[in-house]
Amino acid sequence: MPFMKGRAPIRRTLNYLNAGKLVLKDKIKIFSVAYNIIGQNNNGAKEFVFWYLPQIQYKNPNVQVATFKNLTPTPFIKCYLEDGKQILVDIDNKTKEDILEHLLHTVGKSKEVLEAETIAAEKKDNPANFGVGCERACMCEIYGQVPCPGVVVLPKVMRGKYKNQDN
Amino acid sequence: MISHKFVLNRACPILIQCAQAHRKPRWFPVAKSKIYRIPKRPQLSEEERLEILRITNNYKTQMRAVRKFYTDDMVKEKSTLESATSEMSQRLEAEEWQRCEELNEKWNKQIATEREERRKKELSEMEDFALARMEAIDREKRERVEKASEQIKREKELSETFISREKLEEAIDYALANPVDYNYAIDLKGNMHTGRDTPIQYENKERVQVSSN
Repeated sequence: MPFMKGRAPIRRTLNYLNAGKLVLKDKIKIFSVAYNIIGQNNNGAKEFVFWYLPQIQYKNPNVQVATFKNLTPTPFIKCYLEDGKQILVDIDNKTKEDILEHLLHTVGKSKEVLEAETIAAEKKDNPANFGVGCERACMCEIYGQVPCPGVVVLPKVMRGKYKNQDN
Repeated sequence: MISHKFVLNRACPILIQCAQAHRKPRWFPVAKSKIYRIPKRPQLSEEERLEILRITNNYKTQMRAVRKFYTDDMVKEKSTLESATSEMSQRLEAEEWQRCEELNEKWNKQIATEREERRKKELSEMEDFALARMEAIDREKRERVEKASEQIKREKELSETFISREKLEEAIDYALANPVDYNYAIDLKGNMHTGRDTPIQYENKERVQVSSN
């Protein structure tokens, strides 16, 4: 898809997708939205799908996001959990902001959990980290870095024995 | 490579053990003498085949059992470790979920009541609309009937002057007795000059003669 084509191409920009607030809880596996395109009471649901669904899918790549268009008398969101249970959210006659706010409080992860997870992910993901529990135990494993002095002796210019000689 | 003979013939024989395998290197082509040789397929008797199959199956089954034993052991150990550390957090999570569900139910109930109200309002609006439309249709019908009856009345009045079959002779006689000549002219002042036999009065007779010539 070309960048500036279609309706509201901002929805496809990385900044917009990353700005999504809703990160679903781990136990939610399927997120489905049913709505109609006609009717004043469906406007919120329709706009929610148009504006926020890309963000939700981007932020939750392991969740199946489905939409059911024109198959329901009133709009609703249904989440299927990993233990077979379901949670139904009625979104009749609500604005898209209200819906998102409610979802954040019910099926979304709280801010503290998200922060903790980002810290944990950073530790694991950042290739610059080294030490216990990281990808590499020592910085010297990278090509071009100074080898550990235990393995290869440092050049004399770096060794105090030669650098700090008085005479 | 140093030959065996050379080693024995040396003045001071030493023992040399070569660690490399005694075969030609991988990058050497097939020897000229072996180039068209096709090795014979090993022939297994039926009994031997069955025996090998049995042994192989036994080996596979046992190895699978050992592997599974260790996998299960590891999984069990991991789960006990996890449950010990995260029992508290799991309970907290369950409580959190319970709270979220309650919140959701409250929201759903509120929306349901709102929807009921909206439905009622919409229904009454629809009824009003239907009534208004029915009234409009009735009014239009009435108007059309009135219009039609008025037209009939007018036509009836007019029909008295119509010429019927009985009145035909009479009408012809009347028409013959009273001929109407529509051949008239109107001058600039608006005076009507009737009849085709009216003599034309010119102001200047000479001009007429010149023009006739």
